[in-house]
Amino acid sequence: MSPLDRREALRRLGRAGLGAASAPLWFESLAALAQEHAAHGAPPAPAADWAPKVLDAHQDEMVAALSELIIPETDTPGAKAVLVNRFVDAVLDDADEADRKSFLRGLEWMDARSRELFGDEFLKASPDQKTALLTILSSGKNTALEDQIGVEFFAAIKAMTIQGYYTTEVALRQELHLDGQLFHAEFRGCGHPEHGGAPAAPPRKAP
Amino acid sequence: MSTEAFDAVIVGSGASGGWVAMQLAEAGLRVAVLEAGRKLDPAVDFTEHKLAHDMPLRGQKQPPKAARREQEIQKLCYQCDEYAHHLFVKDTENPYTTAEGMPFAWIRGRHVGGKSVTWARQSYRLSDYDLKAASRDGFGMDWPIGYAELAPYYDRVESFIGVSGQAEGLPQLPDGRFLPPMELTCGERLLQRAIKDGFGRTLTIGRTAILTRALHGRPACHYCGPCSRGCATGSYYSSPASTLPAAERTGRLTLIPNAVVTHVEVDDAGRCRSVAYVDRLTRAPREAFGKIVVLCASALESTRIMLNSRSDRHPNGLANSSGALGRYLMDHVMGGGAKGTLPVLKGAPDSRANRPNGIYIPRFRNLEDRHPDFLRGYGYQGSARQEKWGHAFRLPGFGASFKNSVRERPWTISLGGFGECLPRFENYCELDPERVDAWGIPVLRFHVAFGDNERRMVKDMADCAEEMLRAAGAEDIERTEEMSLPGLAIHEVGTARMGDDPRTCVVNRWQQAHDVPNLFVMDGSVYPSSACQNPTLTIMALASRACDYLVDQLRRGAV
Repeated sequence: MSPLDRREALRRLGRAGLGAASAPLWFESLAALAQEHAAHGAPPAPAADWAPKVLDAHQDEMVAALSELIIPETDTPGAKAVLVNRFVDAVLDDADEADRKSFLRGLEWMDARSRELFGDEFLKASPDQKTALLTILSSGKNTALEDQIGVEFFAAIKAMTIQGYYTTEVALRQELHLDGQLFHAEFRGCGHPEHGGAPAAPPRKAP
Repeated sequence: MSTEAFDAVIVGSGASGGWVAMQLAEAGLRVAVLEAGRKLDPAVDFTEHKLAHDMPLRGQKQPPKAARREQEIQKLCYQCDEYAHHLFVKDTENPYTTAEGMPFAWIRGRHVGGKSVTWARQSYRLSDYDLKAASRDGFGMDWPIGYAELAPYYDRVESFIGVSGQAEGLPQLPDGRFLPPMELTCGERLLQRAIKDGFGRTLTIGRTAILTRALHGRPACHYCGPCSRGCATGSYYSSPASTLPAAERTGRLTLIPNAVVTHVEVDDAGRCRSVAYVDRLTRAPREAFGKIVVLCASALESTRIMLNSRSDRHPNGLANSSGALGRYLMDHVMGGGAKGTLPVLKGAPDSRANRPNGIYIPRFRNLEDRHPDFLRGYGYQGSARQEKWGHAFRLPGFGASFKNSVRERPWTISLGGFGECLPRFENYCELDPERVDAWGIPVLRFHVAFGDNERRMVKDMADCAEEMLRAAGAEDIERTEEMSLPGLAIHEVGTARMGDDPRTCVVNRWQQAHDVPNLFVMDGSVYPSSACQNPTLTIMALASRACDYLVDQLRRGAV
């Protein structure tokens, strides 16, 4: 595959996950399920019988590690806890062949680059080394030819991590503090005189 | 299959077919509705209450792999995604061809309800600025009717389907019989004030066929958001939720799904005798007999049926003595607009409910003045809202600081134009001499391209959107001015235009074929010019007017 094809493939792969970004209306409905489901908050119990369809064990571990580096556990769970790796595997399984190959080549590149820089594969690099490599790839200004595969790969896995993380119930409630419902009695708009809106009216009765 | 004759055989069950079925059945006619697709099951097919994590690919923006291969064209539509791709046709079964270098996107839904299940619901009246545009600027042909003749039918349709909106008193966008308007967001209020003060332009809440209170037994909207995936409560207008049940209640409706119409059969006098179709499931040929045939199959499908109904009496296709059939194909031009952020609203919380509607800035070009670069005009649709997490894709970095930065949810605002496309003889469709669809029916071949007028209009859309967003205090403004692919507005109209002159028009002012008195065409194909407003409301108002005439003619024994 030529570099251009690969770039396009990675771009497409990143964009395939962009659905929720361009259609914000979907989003709050997510919150609804969170509210309906009583057992909210806890990360999903890992299905014991899950096995990746595309990734091998090493690749799967890398994806999990990379996703956690992108969205780590802080005061809320991170990408690993909500199993973003499983989402990435599902997307890769659905992806067109060229896109899938590009992604897997990106993972290989990460190991190779890590060996060059740190003397060992990516997973065995120290936390500081991992961060250093991702910093190089995410700067937005890295035009070094030798890093292009990595830059494009990082953009793709970052987009997939964002999609995979924020579309979980956990992220919705704990990270975004959204508790929307699927059913609302009304839509309340602007009630601020400083925006030109009418002062808030008393809530209307549900129909 | 019975060979009984219906009073009217209606082809198509979408927005207009549903309306026509209801009005004719309520007037006492026995009607058959032929629908090429299946009946939908809301419990299975409607997915508006599915959440991203209910979906294997979390609501991915494109169909899953297997369906994707069958929907190479349909997937260009933003609604043809993991949730709703089954509401769009398979391109592999329903192919078409395009002339070299003239791409055209034909987005379709074949099921009971047609595109009324997936439409964007925006409902605007045309005015005499639109209907008499040719008289004002000399291009093309006026509509044979004026606003005064159409207004009572807009009233009738709006009163039945329910359209929420705000009266504004604008001559170019006449007010309707509105249900209470949905509310504007903070950012939309800011823009509304800025463009009124700065440019004398109006921003109004979208006029939408969504109920803001219960109407005719249909409950009000519950603001879940994604209408394009169906509506369990039938709170937006779709024929299966409103007009078709009303038709059914008369006891005079026969709905025939899976009836893929091939052509209209004529008798020795050249009048419609029956509608021939193929059973989609068994492929058996069938016929439905009627005194009247009404085509409501969508602009391009109705024209395809007429083109494929060649006979000795109609050698160039049914009702095509003018040679205008297939000609003057139009779709609204999109692509000009701008988006930005509204830092001034930082911290102003958005509503938790999902307003399935946006804003509208009615046409302001070429009303009383004359723009130097282009004819006609455009309206903007858009919205301002607080992002939830979609902005994360645009934020730099990774790690805890990145995650934290996503928590700062910015307000974003966007405007995109929908512009009038000039009616041109050289934009046309014809039957492809070689290719057939899955049922052996010749497919359409398109020769369609936007021209310089559309190109210059799109530039103006971007210029004006940018200056208005700036006036509202927007920052990080990004312009778009890449002309859309023809067809992608899914506002395709024309190809069987209405007019008084049988030498240049396919149907008369009552949407009755000039050449065939018992053939009526009641969908977007009859548009002589496209205006810039979303067409469905007008298609229905026209159909209602034509139905009145049809019933009257039938009673007099004149058809």
